Amino acid sequence: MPDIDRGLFGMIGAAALLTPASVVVAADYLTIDVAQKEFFPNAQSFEPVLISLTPDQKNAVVKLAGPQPPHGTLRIWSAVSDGVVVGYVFFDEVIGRSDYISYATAIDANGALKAIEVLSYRESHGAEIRNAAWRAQFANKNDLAQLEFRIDIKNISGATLSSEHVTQGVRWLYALWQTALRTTPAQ
Amino acid sequence: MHTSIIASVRRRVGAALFALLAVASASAFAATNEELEAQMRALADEVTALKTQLAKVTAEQQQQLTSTNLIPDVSNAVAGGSAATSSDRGVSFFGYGEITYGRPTDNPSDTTENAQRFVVGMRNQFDENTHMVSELEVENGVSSADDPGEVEVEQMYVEHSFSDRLFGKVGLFLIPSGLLNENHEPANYYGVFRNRVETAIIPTTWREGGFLVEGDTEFGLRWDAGLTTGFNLSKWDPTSPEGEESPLGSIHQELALAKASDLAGVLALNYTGIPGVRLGASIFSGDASQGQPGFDDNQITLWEAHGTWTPGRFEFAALYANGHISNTAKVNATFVGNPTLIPESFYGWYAQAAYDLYDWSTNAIKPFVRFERLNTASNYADLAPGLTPSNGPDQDIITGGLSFFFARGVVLKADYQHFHGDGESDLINFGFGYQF
Amino acid sequence: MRIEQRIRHSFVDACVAIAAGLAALAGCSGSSGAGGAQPAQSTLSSAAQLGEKIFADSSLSASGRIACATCHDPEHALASAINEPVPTGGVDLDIQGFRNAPSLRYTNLTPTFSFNNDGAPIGGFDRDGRAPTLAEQARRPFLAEHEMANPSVADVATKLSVATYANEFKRVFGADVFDQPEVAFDRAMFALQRYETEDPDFAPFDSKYDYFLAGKARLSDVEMRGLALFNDPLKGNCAACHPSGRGPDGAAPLFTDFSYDNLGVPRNAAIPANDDPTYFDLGLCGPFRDDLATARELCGTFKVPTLRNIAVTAPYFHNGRFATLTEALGFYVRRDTDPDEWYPLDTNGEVRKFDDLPPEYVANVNTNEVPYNRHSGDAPALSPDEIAEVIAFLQTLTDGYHP
Repeated sequence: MPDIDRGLFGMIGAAALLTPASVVVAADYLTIDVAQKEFFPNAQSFEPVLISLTPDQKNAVVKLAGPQPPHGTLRIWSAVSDGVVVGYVFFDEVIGRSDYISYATAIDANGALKAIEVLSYRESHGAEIRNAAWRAQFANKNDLAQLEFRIDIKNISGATLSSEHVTQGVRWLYALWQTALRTTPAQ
Repeated sequence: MHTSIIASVRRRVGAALFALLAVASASAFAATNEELEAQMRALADEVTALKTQLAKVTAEQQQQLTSTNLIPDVSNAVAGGSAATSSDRGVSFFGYGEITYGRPTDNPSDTTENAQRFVVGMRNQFDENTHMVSELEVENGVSSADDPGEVEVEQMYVEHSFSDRLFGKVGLFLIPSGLLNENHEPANYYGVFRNRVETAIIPTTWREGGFLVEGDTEFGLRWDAGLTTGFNLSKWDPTSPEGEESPLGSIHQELALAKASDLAGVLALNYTGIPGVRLGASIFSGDASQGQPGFDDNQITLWEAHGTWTPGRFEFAALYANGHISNTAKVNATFVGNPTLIPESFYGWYAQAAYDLYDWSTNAIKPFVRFERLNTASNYADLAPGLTPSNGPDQDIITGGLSFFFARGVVLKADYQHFHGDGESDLINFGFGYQF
Repeated sequence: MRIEQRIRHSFVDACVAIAAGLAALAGCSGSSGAGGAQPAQSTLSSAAQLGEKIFADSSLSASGRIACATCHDPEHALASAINEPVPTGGVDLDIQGFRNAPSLRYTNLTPTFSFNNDGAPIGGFDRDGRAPTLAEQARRPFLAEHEMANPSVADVATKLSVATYANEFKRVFGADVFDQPEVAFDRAMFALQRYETEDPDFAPFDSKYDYFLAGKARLSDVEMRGLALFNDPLKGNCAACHPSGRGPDGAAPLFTDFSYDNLGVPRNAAIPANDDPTYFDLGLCGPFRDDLATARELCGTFKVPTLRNIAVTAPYFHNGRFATLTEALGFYVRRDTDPDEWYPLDTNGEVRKFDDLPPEYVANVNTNEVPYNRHSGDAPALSPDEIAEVIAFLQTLTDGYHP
């Protein structure tokens, strides 16, 4: 059935044109695509989410998470499975000891954090934040009160700035999710 | 409340797709090939137009978000840089500074306030995997022939990442020994003054020139191995008390026209696989005779072991360091009678506890207490009878105080120190430091 | 200068090896045991070779009987072989001088006279540092009444022109050099300076102590104890002005820091000039230099000499007051604890301390530094046994040691 084939091809081609380009991250460790699938293996698609906060919301985030160290690029996706949003994936960059650290994390529909993945870290100092055990500390936390630096998320002696800034970054993402994403469905 | 323009575009696109599907299925048998192609082209054109509009709207949204400060503009964080991604960052600056105030309780007229350190650092990213770090330090405020200050290059190295877990450094860099040497900024240690063990036994800020290979493993072990310049024992001045204050500090070369006919090797291991725990050890060893007349085969070895643990609101730290110099008897024979001969061994250890008493926002108040014991001349090699110097005294130091951290990079400190064993007066200290 | 020391040191090593072979030959001369047969002659420049001849040429004196080498005897560590407080010179060799003739060993390493950052004087040739160069210093003995006593520069030039090496002199400095006596005399002084700088005999560094520093000899227990007392800032504290340790980059110690000190050495009645009670030799502030006459705090200070070869260069101090090391060291440690041992009594029976200084300069005497910071009745810094140990050590500083 060449006609139907053409039609199908056209549909798929058109759909392909609309798929957002993958975020290219300079890393040979993990790309964001792989991280997304690790967080939500059952999701069929990841839709980019763009939000702008009202001034009230902005103040609320800062009040919850505190003032932030400099951020680099921030991107958010909703993970969609069977038409339902099952969670959000975040890609963030915070300053480590002296260079940016790219990491990704996710929050599921119940508000539970996933362990973070470090996507790019290009120097030896502070590289301990990539240790699986340290990253796993974030898993299943579902309240900012469970994300206190040094108490819930341990400092890495010798990588204090990296571990502190990544922790603050995650806190901020969680506060952002609480303020602006939890109540707003993606579609 | 927020109907995203993007969402509306998506709805239009979705409708177009649905229409296409409907048209395709409805016209599957009715339309000719040409008609189908024409429709496909038209749809493709519309999709392209939509995609362009989508990109434009996305960019506008980004702009809006930036201007509402939801995502701070990256270029603000980087001095002189406007890179969009982290790997494109060019030059950036960092630094730290400390001012100290020390008041000896026995002789207050010796009270001193000092611009202890002023450090400017510069970092340049050459490419994704290669960057350079440099630090310039001014000690004691004013440096000139008549002033007590010094200007020095503290670090100057290039680091390259061979892979995710393997790095190499070449240049002038800090030796990975102890807890303080690589993390000596004022907010990274407790007490106005750095602890004596890591000043007199491990000569913080200790840097050498050479190369270092570093790596870390998935399960949390970081290792460093390198070949660098070492010490120069012919710098030992038997008439000066410097060697008694810090044996290695009096003979380190700091890559200032350093004698390098004898190099040294360093190996360090640090395990941070358990969050909140760090265990590590290092060893540095090299011949310090440097072919100088009267010096022969004087191997200096400094090893140390350390640990930190942060359960709950507590922070515990402990360290032990031990140094040894071989074949000192022959040199000491030419120094007999002088006040400061070369020791054969020296050591120090400390235990420290700090507590996060209260913290809010980016601020915290943390009291701490530390006990140190060190001996800068715990043993001398035997000379002729009656000429061997007696071993140095154990110096005990108890320090108790408070650090007030604020704004994530600024610290105010106060502490009291009691010295026992060498007659030094108690000290009341205040300090201020910043780092970024 | 350090390079020259190094060249000398390594040259000395070579000489030791060669001397061992040449020792059997008759050509050994010179007081330096390692110098031996002087195969180094060929390494001296032509000016230095002339200087060596001028140094030993007694025809250049008015009496015809003394040369530099008379009071600076190469067989005697370049000091006087006669244990007299001051040398004798003059036309008829009957005039006594004013100061003890120093050893010329290691003098070529003296820095130029200057004031350091703390305002303290350093360096210069002669005991009061008044000559800026060796060539300048060499001028005076030719012309001084109490030394070689030539009436004028022209006179010396004439004597040079008829010396046995006159042709060589003309070859090196020009055929017409004697047409201008001033120039000829200057060239002769230059030649002396080259000789004193280049000839390894002026800085051999081959004492037992040098071998000990190089790890090739061991000091005896007594000598080691002496070294310890020498260095100990609370006992002898000698190293404070006579450093015994290597300099930066391993330079061998010279046992002087070329600084100046006023020890209040007792007046030496054996010096005829001291018959006049109003005559005082004040070192830096006169009478033989006048540019520092107003620097009153410097009156009575003399330059710290090297202690190398000290055991064989008696008598000691600028006025040759002490003939033995035992006396000299005894003075250091008992000057203040037992002053009547050293100074005369005045008419009331009181000790007249520092009798070689006018009363207004007595305050300049060093009473702060160990070992002469004691008071009458205190225990001296060194006991007589300890003095003997220090002397045993000082004897290791004599050049010409064979390990």
